[in-house]
Amino acid sequence: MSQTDRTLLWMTLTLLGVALSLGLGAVWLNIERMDIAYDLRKMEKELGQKEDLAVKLTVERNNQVSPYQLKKLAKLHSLGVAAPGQIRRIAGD
Amino acid sequence: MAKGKQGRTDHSGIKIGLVMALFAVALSGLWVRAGWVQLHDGDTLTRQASRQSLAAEYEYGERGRIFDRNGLMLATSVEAKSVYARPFEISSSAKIDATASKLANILKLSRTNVRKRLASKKKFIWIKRQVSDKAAAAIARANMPGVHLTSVFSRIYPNGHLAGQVLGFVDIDGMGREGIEYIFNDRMKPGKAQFVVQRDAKGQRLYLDAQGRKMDVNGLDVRLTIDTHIQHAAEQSLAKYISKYEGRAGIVLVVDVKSGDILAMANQPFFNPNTVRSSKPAQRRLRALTDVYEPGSTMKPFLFAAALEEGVIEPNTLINCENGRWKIARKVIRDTHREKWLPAHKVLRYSSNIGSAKIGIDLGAGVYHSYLTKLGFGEKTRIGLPGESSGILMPPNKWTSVDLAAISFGQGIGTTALQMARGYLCIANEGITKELNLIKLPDSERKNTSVQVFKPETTAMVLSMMKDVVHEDGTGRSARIPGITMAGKTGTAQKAAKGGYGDQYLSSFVALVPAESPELLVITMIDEPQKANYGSMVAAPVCREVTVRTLAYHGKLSETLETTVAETIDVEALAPLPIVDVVSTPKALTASDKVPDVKGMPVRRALEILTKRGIIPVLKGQGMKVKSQKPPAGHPWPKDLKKEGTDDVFILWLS
Repeated sequence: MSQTDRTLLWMTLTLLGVALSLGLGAVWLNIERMDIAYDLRKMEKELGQKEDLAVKLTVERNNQVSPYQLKKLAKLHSLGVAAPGQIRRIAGD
Repeated sequence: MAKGKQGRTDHSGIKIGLVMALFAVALSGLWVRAGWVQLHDGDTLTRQASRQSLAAEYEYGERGRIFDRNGLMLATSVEAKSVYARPFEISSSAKIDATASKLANILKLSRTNVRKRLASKKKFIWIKRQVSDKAAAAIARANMPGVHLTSVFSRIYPNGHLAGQVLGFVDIDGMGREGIEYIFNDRMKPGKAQFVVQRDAKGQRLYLDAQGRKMDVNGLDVRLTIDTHIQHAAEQSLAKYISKYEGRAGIVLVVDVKSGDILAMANQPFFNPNTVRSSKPAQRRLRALTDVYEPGSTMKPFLFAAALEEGVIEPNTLINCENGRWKIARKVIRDTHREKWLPAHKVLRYSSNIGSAKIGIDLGAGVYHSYLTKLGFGEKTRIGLPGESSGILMPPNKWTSVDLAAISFGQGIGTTALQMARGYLCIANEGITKELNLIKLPDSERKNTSVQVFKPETTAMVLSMMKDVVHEDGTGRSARIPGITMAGKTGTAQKAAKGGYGDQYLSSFVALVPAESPELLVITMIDEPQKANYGSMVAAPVCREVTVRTLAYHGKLSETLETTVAETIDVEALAPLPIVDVVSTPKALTASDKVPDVKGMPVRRALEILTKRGIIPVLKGQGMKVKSQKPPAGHPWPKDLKKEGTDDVFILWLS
């Protein structure tokens, strides 16, 4: 086998190797992509649930600070609307 | 054709040629077929393949929220599950029975009804929309074939009936039907995004790219000028007094004079938008803008302002009030109290109908009508809510002398509470008209149409007369707030019935505080009170309570109980309610030389005791009760009171 033939053989083998590696890489990337897609789907579901919960908690928080609840709480602590003459203003320094 | 060594003919060349031809034909066939599939059927096949592996998915946004002026939530959307079925996916009758039983049990529905619906031939049926989280979880666990859950947004109003009529409501499909929900439906309604997802072998959907998902599908928010706490105070006070006097309905409007912002718009009976189905149309009506009333004496300040502006009267012009009975064109006008000669300012103070009618006649129909028109009577306030009424203001050429007399004391003219508020806003704003605002966001694009209707001196005179109504012996004494000056006007209007005026009344009161340079406007109207009629008895206490609560909330109540003006004349008939029953004063606390034991007391009570002694303590720690105090109980009071609040003169530790 001449020097030129050997070179051609190596080049061919190298190209085949690269093609194989690229092919395997593409398959691996596709698998990873699908894997990420599944994870993404799962996380989006979780995010949706958490956002939903956050909205519900916001509603609950608003309910807790609503005038009705504050009035109840104030009554519990002997607080009420100030009557005329009951407010004191403290001047700042 | 070559011959071999044994003389046999060699056909191998032909054979090879045939095989090659066969292969060539086969390969050509494959090549042609491949070309056909690729080029001719390519698009169709690609579409079919996409249908198998790709799917369209929709994302629905959330409806915009409604906030009050401080950012407190008045309406929001919460994700809720709805249950639907695809009857064709349920194969047998036995399975339909089982599914119907389970669904009826979980969703508390009629089993027969559910079974009937599941047995239908339809491709899609709703079983129940907007079910509870618990029911949705039970449905998911039951894993019934043909029964599915889908997410939809349901509308929640966290404060129940608070400002219910203002907010309006949405229908089951999330479309605004009344109030703010209706007017801003296009702004608040959510969008829909469509994007392509990949499907795996099991049919699960996977997001492989972000195509179409960047779109903002949520509706935009709306912010009102309403203050939740003031609205609550207005609603509570209104409900209390309507119940006390057995009224049919009522309105309270609280307006910030400087900005024209409506801080509260309470309407009784209440309407809870969370339970639309159980409500009646009468509850859903926003009476402050839909209902037209003859306002009665609360119209008189406008007449006085016009007459003062035109120079028809001076505050001290004497007017003959005919001892409480005056006949004009065969109609008799009566006053509750009988007076002969009254100066103009006392005509307003005692709310004399005869005096007002005479001023109106002197002013003339055309002139008074032009002032009423400039103040906005007879036209909508364009506040931005549906169903607003223009009120009733006849053209002046149709006014008879009786009409002019009646309109002068607020009968024969129809106004909404909002129109009254706009009129009074002009008086409070030194005679310049100002628009009322209910919407903070989005910014209103209304043109500035402010007009100077009265001179500032004129409105100052009217406010001074209205102040006498409350602080002197006028009809509005029961609205008096110690330490605060108030300009007010009572109204007790007879309601029109079939063939004339009946025996039902509209009691109203208008308050402007402080009287000299008003910052707050409060209008109260109580429709058809049964136990009493007078505005001074029915509406004024509501106004007073709402004003006190609003001022307390803004920290603007007076520190002292000193009244700057003294009562001079006692006119019993004007205010049947004794002032002592209306104005509550703090209870006197026993004075002692020693520091009392405030441990264990609520901090408010402890502060009340200490401030009574002129001491403002330093508060340490957090909580509502006093844990410890310095100086301790029994010690003499600290002497260096000048350092109060800034030094350790008196310390309260809280827990």
